[in-house]
Amino acid sequence: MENLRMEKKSRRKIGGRNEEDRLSDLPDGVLLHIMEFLTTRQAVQSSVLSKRWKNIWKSLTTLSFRFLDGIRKYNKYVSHVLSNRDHSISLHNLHLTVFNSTAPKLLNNAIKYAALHHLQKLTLSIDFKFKEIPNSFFPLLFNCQSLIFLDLFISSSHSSLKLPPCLLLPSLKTLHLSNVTFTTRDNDSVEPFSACTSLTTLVLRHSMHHHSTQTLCISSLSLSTLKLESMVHSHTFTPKIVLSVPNLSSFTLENSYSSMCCELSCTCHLPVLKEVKIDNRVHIHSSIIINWLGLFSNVRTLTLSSHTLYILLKYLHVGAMEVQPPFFARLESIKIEMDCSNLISIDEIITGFDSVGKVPDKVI
Amino acid sequence: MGERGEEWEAVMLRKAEEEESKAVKKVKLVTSDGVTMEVEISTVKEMETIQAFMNATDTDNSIIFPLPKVSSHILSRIMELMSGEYDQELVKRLSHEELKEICMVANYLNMKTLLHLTASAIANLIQNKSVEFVRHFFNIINDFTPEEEVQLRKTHEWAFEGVDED
Repeated sequence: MENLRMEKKSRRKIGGRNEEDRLSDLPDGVLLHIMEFLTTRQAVQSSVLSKRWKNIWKSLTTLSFRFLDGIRKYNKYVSHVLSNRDHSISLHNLHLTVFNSTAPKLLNNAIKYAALHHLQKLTLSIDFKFKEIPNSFFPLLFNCQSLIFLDLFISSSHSSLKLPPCLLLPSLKTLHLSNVTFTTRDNDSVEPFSACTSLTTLVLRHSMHHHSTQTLCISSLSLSTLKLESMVHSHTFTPKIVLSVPNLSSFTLENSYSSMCCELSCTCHLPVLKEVKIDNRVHIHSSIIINWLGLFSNVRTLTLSSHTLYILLKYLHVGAMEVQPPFFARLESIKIEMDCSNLISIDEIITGFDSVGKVPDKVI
Repeated sequence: MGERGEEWEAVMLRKAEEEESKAVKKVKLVTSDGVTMEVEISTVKEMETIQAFMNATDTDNSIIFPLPKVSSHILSRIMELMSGEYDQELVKRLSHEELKEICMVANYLNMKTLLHLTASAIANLIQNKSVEFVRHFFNIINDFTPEEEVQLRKTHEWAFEGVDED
């Protein structure tokens, strides 16, 4: 307040305007709200603005540690912020980047701190150049019982994060995993998500490396949205994914890098399935796509990329139909997403569909 | 005939009631510079502070709500943002001063969407800017002694590494 009055006086002296009616100072709560959008590094910088600002950053419920040129003492930086913040305030949202230079102990301490301060959202971005990515933090993560969102992003192409066989995160609603390896103790099959009893959204990217198990079972009663993006990585065998997700409503499959595909199967009829999107950009046998479509024949809105359709229609034209094409009893609309490959024209799409007696509703 | 007449009366009564309730669905906001702005009740729904007041008073007459801290200029800017469904482009056109005031009013009237939008717009403006820029932006008078400031910068030295001073 003292600050505010001083400012008004000096402004009046200089400008001679009446500033009385203007609200000239944002309350601490609003300043904190603004700071939640800044990187933590800059939020901490604000402590030198004035005495009033000195401690505001300590009440932040979002901390975002990203790599910035110039921060040589990254480990010191993270632990300094964690130990100097106001410990009576919950930490809801943590974004932590892990580098080669990050001490495994630091990562573990951050997760321990988060577990004690009711962490709800964790984004862990791992930028690692060595073979073995430390995974000792995982059991500590299981202590974060309030965790509802987890994004593990591993950007290294050489190594992947070894997941424990079972993820004990009962409050978790959203899980994004990229570049992880599914491993198992005894047999070839792993079922990592069955203990995530609140999980509704699962996104898997570039996972299933060659050390991975052969069969991944995605079984969950709560799951409604599933997205698989270029799942298979440098394999000598075709890995299998078995879906056991009776409440699935949205499914997306994108395949753009690996020329291999996983073998997909499903143990239930997916009675509430609404939308399916398939975007395949690599050369695979069209019977694989027919098989995928067969799994999702209960769908209401089907979106195919033009490349996916190209492979599919080529097969139909040849007439060598060895597999029974799926019958979509509940289908309400088909959408075709044109990609830049120009393999297929809109006219060809219409003609292709005429031959099977159905015209797409929308070509985008 | 009598029965029908009663029915007719009931219809008219209901119509009159409806009309009356329609008339109530306006709120008069009186700004700091004495301008009265009449707004739809739906507009006020997002202003939780006013909404709470209305729920508490439960009056039949049209409501007059004084806003001694909000100028007519800022209130009309807020109305523009609301009718434009909080378009980012509209936010970009605001001056720094307008943006700060709208953010403050959004907080005062407890308008969550508007507060979120303006707070993130302000954060974008000051992201990666020097301490001096931020001081100027918020009209902050530095009340640290030079020694205190040096000490504080030393305490958080990693936060200032690689930051260019003006």
